[in-house]
Amino acid sequence: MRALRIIETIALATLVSCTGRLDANAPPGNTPPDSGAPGPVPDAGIFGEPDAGPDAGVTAPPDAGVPDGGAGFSPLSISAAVGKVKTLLTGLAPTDAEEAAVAADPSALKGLVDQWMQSPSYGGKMQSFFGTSFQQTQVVPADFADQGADADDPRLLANLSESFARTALELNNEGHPFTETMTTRRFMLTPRLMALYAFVDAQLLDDKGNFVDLLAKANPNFKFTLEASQGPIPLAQSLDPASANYMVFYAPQLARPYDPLCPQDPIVYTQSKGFPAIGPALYGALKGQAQTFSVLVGGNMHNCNPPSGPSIYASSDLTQWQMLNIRPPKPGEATTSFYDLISLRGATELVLNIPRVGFFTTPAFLAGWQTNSSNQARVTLNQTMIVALGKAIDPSNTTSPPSLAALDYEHAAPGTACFGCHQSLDPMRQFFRQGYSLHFSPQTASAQMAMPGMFAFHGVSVSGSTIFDLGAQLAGHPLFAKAWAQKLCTYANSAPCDETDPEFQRIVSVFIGSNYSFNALARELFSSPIVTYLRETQSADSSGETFPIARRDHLCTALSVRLGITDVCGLSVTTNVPQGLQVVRTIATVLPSDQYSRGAEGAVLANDPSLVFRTGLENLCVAVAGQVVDNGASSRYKSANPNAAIADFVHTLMGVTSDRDAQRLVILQGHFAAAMSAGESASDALKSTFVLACLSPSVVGVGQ
Amino acid sequence: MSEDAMKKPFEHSRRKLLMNSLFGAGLVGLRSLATGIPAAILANPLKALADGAAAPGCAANGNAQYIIFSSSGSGDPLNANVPGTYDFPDISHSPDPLMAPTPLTLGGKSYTAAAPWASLPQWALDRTSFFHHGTYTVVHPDISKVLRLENAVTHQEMLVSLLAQNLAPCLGTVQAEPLSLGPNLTVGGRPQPVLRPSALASLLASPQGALGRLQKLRDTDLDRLNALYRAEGNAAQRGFIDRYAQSQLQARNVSEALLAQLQSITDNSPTSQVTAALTLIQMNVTPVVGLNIPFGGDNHTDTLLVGETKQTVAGVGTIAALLNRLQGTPLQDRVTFMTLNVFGRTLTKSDNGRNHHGDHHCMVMIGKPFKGSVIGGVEPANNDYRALSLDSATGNGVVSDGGDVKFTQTLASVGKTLGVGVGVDATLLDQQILGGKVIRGALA
Repeated sequence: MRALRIIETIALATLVSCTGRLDANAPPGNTPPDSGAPGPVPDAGIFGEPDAGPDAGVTAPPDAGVPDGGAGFSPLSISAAVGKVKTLLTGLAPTDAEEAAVAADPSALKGLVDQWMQSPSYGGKMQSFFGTSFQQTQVVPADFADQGADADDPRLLANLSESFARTALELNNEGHPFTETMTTRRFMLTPRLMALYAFVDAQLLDDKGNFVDLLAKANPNFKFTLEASQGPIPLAQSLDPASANYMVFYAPQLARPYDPLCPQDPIVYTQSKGFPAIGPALYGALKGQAQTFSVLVGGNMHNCNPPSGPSIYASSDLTQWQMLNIRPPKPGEATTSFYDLISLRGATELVLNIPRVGFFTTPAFLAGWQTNSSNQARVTLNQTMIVALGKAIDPSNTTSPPSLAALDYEHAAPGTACFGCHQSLDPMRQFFRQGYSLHFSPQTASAQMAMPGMFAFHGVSVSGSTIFDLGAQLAGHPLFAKAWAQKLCTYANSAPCDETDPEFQRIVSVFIGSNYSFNALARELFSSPIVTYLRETQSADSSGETFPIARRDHLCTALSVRLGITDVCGLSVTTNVPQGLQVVRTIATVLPSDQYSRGAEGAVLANDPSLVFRTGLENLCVAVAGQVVDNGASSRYKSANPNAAIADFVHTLMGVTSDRDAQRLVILQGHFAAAMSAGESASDALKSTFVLACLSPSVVGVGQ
Repeated sequence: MSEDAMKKPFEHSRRKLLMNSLFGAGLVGLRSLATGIPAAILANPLKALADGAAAPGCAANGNAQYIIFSSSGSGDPLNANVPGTYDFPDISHSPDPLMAPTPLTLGGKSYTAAAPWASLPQWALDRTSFFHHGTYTVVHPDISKVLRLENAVTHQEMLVSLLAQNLAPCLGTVQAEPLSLGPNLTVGGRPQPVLRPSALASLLASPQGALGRLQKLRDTDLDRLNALYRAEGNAAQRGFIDRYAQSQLQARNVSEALLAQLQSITDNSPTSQVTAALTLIQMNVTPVVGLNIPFGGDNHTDTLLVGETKQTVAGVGTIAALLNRLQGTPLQDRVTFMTLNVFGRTLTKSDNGRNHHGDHHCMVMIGKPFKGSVIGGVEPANNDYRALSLDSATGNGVVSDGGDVKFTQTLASVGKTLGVGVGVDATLLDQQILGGKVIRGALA
């Protein structure tokens, strides 16, 4: 039922062509049974009742009388509840003291949550949550071409995907209300990302796809030179207008012959015939990709393809993140130069023409939700609403806009099934269309510019103007708090929470009352019975308790922090994965992970173990075993001391506290002994024991 | 994939035999006691999986088919170039010679289609049914709804999941859930993982060396650990443990003899998806494998339909390659290929792109149970064309919604027809798919 609701939340996204009829043509009489009607509502007083969980808390009570998979709430043990929360927040296993503290006083959990939120790995977990929730991650390099951007370097693609998640984290760390993720004009960027932002800004791609190189337009005589014969030229000289080497870049690859019919060294890129647009040519050259140009040979144009060389960008240009403001130029002010890397490295702001505000104008979001002449930014707007307010544009939104001037009557005439959505969708999409071309360049079409956005969504109907007004409306909308409480609740429980649940509503109230502090929301939610299942809630009653597999981020973080291996799964492109863990990276890329999809209001979560998950996980654990057992002098585990290793398997890896460890130790020790008896070496026996622990339910599952 | 390998469609693993001998019927009870996992699952995990959707008559059904299906939420223009769309002069087709209108013979009748379709070998065309129908939506996210036949399938199940659950007992597959290499699928509303062909070998291979030799011992000890967690857990936690234990049983039933074929896959292209799908079927992992073969994508802006041309040529080529690989092997008559996207595309917009179109889609079904045919067709409606209603006895299209299968029932009908074709009991389908009729004209 819960999962069905996820699917059922899929809503109308891009109403591109309403020539078909939606409900009018739907087969009659097919209303499905069990179509998401609210479940039974418990007595209101239940939330005030004493903890119905186990008294000692550390060991689980028998739950006789509750059939497998049947209805009826059964509280989680303290150990499972504490383990669930700490694992979700940090990947770490709970300690004896932490479990004991909650067993003695369940309200102690809130303080522990506060502590765990200070953990370094908490930031990583929330960065992952934000990346998915702000829909910045499911993009590939080709998706950026539409904006005139590049992402062919995997590190740059990772920069693009991570930027807004890091922005949200930083805003939170600075103490800003979470609503600022809708309105912020400050972003976490690397110097390389700044160069990309500035480069995209130096082009104009209008609605018809016409391209204008703004660098060339502003500087008709601009040229640059690639050379090798002079020897290395400091970048500072290449970028210093006062230097004789201004716009002369060292390109050592030109020392090697590449085409006898072409200029060899130097190559001067000008704006004359045969050369590519100077802006993109320079941008490419800085990346080490000298662009193709043509020369006249024997009366015919001959293509010259200079070889690639080194990039001017250092590795640190893709890892040094800083928060900086993006603002439009003042009258007469120049925009930030994409090629001035030295200035970018020290920049505190970018001056750009393309408006950037909130999560919904980042290159990654716009790459994921590209538009076209038919779609007219409807998908972009709809996904914006889903991210910001948790709801798609659908007929349930009956709020009329102040004006229907932007309504596409050809697509959606009044009285048609399409009108219900288009009447709010079309005026709202003007927030994008008024300011951006279909390629998310500054809008130049006067008809579009003259038609400002109108916000009309679930009770709020106001006239707006720019994309910044859209951000402000999202931040101030009554649905904002509930939407983000739901996203975090879904992340925690792998299933949506019941929004009519009084406990859910209490958490939303706390979030609002804290001036939208994300930390307050996280603290309240993760210490709530709605997540811990220590007490009955309406959500648990209506949707049951969900115990999913440890999806990729949970599993990989847990293995990393519990085994002390940074990014054991190699999820970051900057991680230098040892040969022995390459297979882990391969497997991890296809492990079930949190996903979003077009038009879906909820996250798409594969919760169930499958045979492929089981076999893949075993292979992953085997590879990790090779890294942590008898792998050199500094190996974490040594077969010479199997008992200590096995104790750590149980306590650290499996996350079992000492009051529950006895039988697990016996099983693991027995496995080690049996493996030895079978004639295997102590080292292999211990590796197999590690794999056994690694495959235990408390590692592969959440809340076990 | 080698021809020898293709001739061994139903590998039984050494491990499976070993497991059966060690944990035969006499030990099931003991094992259940030791692990706490319900004996029904231990005794017959497949049956336990399929119990939720009993399949009367299916176990004895020698006509049961494996299904490879292509699906996409993009709404590809596959519908725009198939037989049945060349009867009206204002229906747009690519001007590229590669897509030239070309005659082909289906069931002894002559039709016209884009050249790629006509290039399929005649033995394949003789078992290819082009079924015109509606999907009744124009929005991309409705793909899951369309896969549920616009909720005509009971319990909000997807058609392919329903078919998989009913075919699994007949085929003896390791799992009863479909396996996806592309589309987002659900079973009982639960999202299923999407796998990449290039990673399958790493996922499915068993450990080598000592850790491989110790696998059985580890499985036994993991059962003991599971039992411990199960005893401590509540009902919902126990449910997870049971599913986890079940996944181990399934894993040990997977033949590894064909893993080399998966190891040869280096990318996730449609061709690689086909290789993976065929291998998974040979390994008898699942009755249904989903993949994605593009046929032009979401081509609103597609000057001269260049993208549509390129992908249609490639897409039919991928299907042809699949059929060629099946030809002459025992799987040739055991695998059905079919397509179901979220919607088709408008037929008349222009030569420079097509819009979403819920009024018309064409399911292509290729397999032994089907005969060369064009079911239904199109008629002018709503400034474009929509699928005709049907005469259920013949499969002929009937204008002005005059057939006994109305336009609004064509989607359910294509589901029922496919279901009966691949070997699922018609009575059961009538119970589980509301509305529509089996169109006998599509069946061999």
